[in-house]
Amino acid sequence: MAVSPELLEILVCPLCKVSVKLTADGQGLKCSQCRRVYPIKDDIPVMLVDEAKIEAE
Amino acid sequence: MSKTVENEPVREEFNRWAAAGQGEEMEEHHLPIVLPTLALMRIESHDRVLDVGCGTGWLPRRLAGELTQDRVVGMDVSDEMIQRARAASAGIGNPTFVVGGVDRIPWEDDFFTKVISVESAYYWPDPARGIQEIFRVLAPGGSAWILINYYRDNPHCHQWGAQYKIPSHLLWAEEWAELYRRAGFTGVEHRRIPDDSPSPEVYTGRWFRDAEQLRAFKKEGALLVQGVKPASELR
Repeated sequence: MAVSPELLEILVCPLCKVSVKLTADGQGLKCSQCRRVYPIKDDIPVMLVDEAKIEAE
Repeated sequence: MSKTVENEPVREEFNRWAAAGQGEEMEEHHLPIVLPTLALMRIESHDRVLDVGCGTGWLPRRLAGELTQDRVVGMDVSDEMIQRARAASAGIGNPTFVVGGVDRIPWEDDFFTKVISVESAYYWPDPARGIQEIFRVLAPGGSAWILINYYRDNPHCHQWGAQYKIPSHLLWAEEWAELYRRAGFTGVEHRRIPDDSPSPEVYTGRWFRDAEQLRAFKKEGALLVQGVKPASELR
């Protein structure tokens, strides 16, 4: 079971508190503001700043 | 970039606890103090509940199955605990599990109607900040309930500090209440929740000197701190 769309709608970036979007590969949740990508591991969003990677684009 | 709070030691320690199977023991250990707390919280079917430091998720499962029809979220900084929580929750109500830290809750403002945290708050890297974050994600009129066994007013738990592998906060009940007030909570109260469950005749674990101290600890009880986020017109 993947991360539910309903959950994606209400999760926010823990730093910026703005909504996150599923990445194209479905492996992460990206903040549109700070560009951090929070990994999804075993269908569980890992919303820790220290675990996120900042994407260039 | 702003400095992140030190979650990593807590995460590593509780991943070790999870791997050792200690998460699964928590329901048995904590139920005697959680049941009276749930009775005070009066959770209703429309409540949206967040459990901070949910471990393997026994409480969100219980809430989602029995008490509320709305959203129940379990959050823990330990990804190992959350994996176990999710695996154990298949087909049970609708609990949602997220890896996250209380210092930066990955949730929008004004969302939950009740936040509970059981035996977690004294491990938070910055309890004042955690309580501010709980205040933020609570809807106006929502309430926060922190239940802990390790607090300064109970003399029978102070020895735990030397055994913790991560920093912990041994605060007075009134200090916890003051953190609530500073975060903006009103109606702040604290009370004891005695543990009336049967105690063994002989204690051989490492947390208490002997069975007598364990009984004294349980009689003294856990500390429950509660507060309400004022309705918006009052803020």
